[in-house]
Amino acid sequence: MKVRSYGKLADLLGQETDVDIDVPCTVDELRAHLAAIYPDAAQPLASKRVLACVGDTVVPNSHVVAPGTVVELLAPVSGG
Amino acid sequence: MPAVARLEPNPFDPAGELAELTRCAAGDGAVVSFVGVARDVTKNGEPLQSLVLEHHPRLTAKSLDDIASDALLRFTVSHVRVVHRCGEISPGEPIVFAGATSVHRRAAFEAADYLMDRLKTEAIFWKREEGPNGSSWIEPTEADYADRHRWE
Repeated sequence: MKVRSYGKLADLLGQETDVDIDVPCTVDELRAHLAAIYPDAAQPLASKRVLACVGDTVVPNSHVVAPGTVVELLAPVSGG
Repeated sequence: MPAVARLEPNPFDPAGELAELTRCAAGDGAVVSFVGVARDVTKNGEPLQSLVLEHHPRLTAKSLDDIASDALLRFTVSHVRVVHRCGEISPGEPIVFAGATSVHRRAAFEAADYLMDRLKTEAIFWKREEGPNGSSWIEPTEADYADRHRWE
């Protein structure tokens, strides 16, 4: 599984991270897995304002992600 | 096109955008626009060297399109125009232009207000201030989120 991160999350996780998960897992489980590896990112990873996207669509934390999927994690966005 | 949204990598001229919006709105009685400009100090009060707006290769443009289209549907406006910078922005440069036109003024004022509240909290950008002591990420404030909730 590959995780692409944006904004401040990219500073904490790297822009692209390979995650060693070889069974389907929920977005919630993926966030927890990453938080265990990157404790400094635990707080933003738990935030509801950090969105998860698969295939350019925002998915809920209950969404099941298959191995090999690219998941994008968007730190809180801000335009204007 | 009644709803125009453009992701702009280069400095742009807000007066030109307003002129184009006004030209499109022939027959309307109201043209309302807002221009957001990069301040010259950071949130900590230090001199701002630049404001950097990172964007997503696909989702950012879609978020601008969605916000502009939603404003057109929600209010009795004839035209909506959004231009949003990305990349490195110098102090004093425009960041965003948001405008709307309508037959009467109220709808255009409301649409412009709505556009900005949504852009502040939902446009897919990651904003970073570069100052003399390094960089820091800027996220929407609780007031920004509260402003957005006014429209729910």
